[in-house]
Amino acid sequence: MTSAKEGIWNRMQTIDPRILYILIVVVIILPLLSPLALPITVTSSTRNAYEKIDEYSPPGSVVVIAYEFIAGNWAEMGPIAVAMTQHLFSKPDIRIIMLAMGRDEGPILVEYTLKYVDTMGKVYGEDYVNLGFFAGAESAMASFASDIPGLVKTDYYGTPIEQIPVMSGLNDLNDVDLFLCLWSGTPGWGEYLRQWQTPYEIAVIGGTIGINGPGAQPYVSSGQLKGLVVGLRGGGEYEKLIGKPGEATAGLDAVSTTHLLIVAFIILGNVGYFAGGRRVGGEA
Amino acid sequence: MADMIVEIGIWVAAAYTLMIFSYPYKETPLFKFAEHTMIGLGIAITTIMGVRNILDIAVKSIVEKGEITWIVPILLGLALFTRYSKQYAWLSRWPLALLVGIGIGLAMGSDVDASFVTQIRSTVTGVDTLNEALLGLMVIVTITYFIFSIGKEQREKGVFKHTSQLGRYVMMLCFGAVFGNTIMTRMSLLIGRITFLLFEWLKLG
Repeated sequence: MTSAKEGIWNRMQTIDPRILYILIVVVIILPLLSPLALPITVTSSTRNAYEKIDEYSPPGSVVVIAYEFIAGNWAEMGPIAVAMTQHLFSKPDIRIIMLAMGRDEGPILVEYTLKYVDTMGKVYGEDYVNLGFFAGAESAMASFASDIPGLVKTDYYGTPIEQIPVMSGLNDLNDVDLFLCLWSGTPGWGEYLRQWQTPYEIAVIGGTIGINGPGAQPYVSSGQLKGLVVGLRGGGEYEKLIGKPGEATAGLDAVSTTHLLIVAFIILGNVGYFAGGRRVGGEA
Repeated sequence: MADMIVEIGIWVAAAYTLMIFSYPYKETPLFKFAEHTMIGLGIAITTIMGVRNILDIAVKSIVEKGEITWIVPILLGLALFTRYSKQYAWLSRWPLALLVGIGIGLAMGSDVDASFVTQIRSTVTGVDTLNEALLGLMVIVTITYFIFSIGKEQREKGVFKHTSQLGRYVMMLCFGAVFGNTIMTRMSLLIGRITFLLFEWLKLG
């Protein structure tokens, strides 16, 4: 016969997931409507990425940004893309080239990102350009790296490349000083690592979704990635560094409350498991 | 007019978000409708992008510039569709072989250096801190877990028994970190959707 005490331990392990779902929605909505203003501490990884962008984009430099994420990941990648692009637009006298080779929605996301970025007087075509999407993924990356004029004929809007001053004098990847890789899956960093970073030893700074963070970390340790910004939290930290709070900052309170709730449920489940004689759901 | 189109878009997006959110209750017809619409739209966009690429890059180059070499990739692309014919299916092997060959050739050219040599070099050199030393140790014990060539008896006794056990714990730590980040990503996406519903659809902020 199951005692009342055993019943409690069992119940702690078999809470209806729908209760958890409802609670998660509640702990997201509350801080969004009434911000808790929890302090945002900047991790060394995000600070490192910020400082490396400063280091590798002095006046006169050329920066390529690849938008290799899908619209569905905007909630996490958008703040990173906006904050890092904003940081680059604040740099004087640099050329910014935006493109996509793995995701055909990349050029649309470039436009969407620019809606939130203060271009700070930079002129399209003279200071920055949206080259659009190049089909072929890894083979397109290899082509771009070895022969830019050979691959790039027009920008996203059909303007011939000869009429775009920002592209003048760019022959191959050796003419590029910094590469910002914003990716959420494949094709993404792995392909750029093989076709751009390794053969040309170009400085790369990454921004990616939380899932990819642990997998990308060894490349930061090895120096193949000079810096890495991960997830909504990384985006919030970057917004703090550039002094322009945005979507990520607004969502960080909700990130903290959901994490606290999940940790609480993990503890509950484990207490139930161990105190209940290591039986799952009352079964030996 | 433009504002109205944006507003309609917001309402459609909100409706689809709510349809998808009905899933935790059960697999409702609304969820299935939203799911199928999403898959259909995804395929439609990919098809349009593919056709547009063919027209803009290949066909345009042939018609406007007379670059007839673009016929080769077009023919190879069409050959892929011969898979649907038993008689001519062999033709599809040629473009497929070309695709696989180019893919492997491009990847292997630098992958050994990028993902293997550089990573090993980084792990074993410049061990200055306790963290770096621990990292090296964890790599070694994890590798010992996957040494199957020494036989079952050797694996279950002596030093290998302990190192492979440690390797298991290291992998558990790694999987835990990946799982934790996966949860973080899913929560971020949910926060994004709820932010959209509250502030763009309901305009509460």
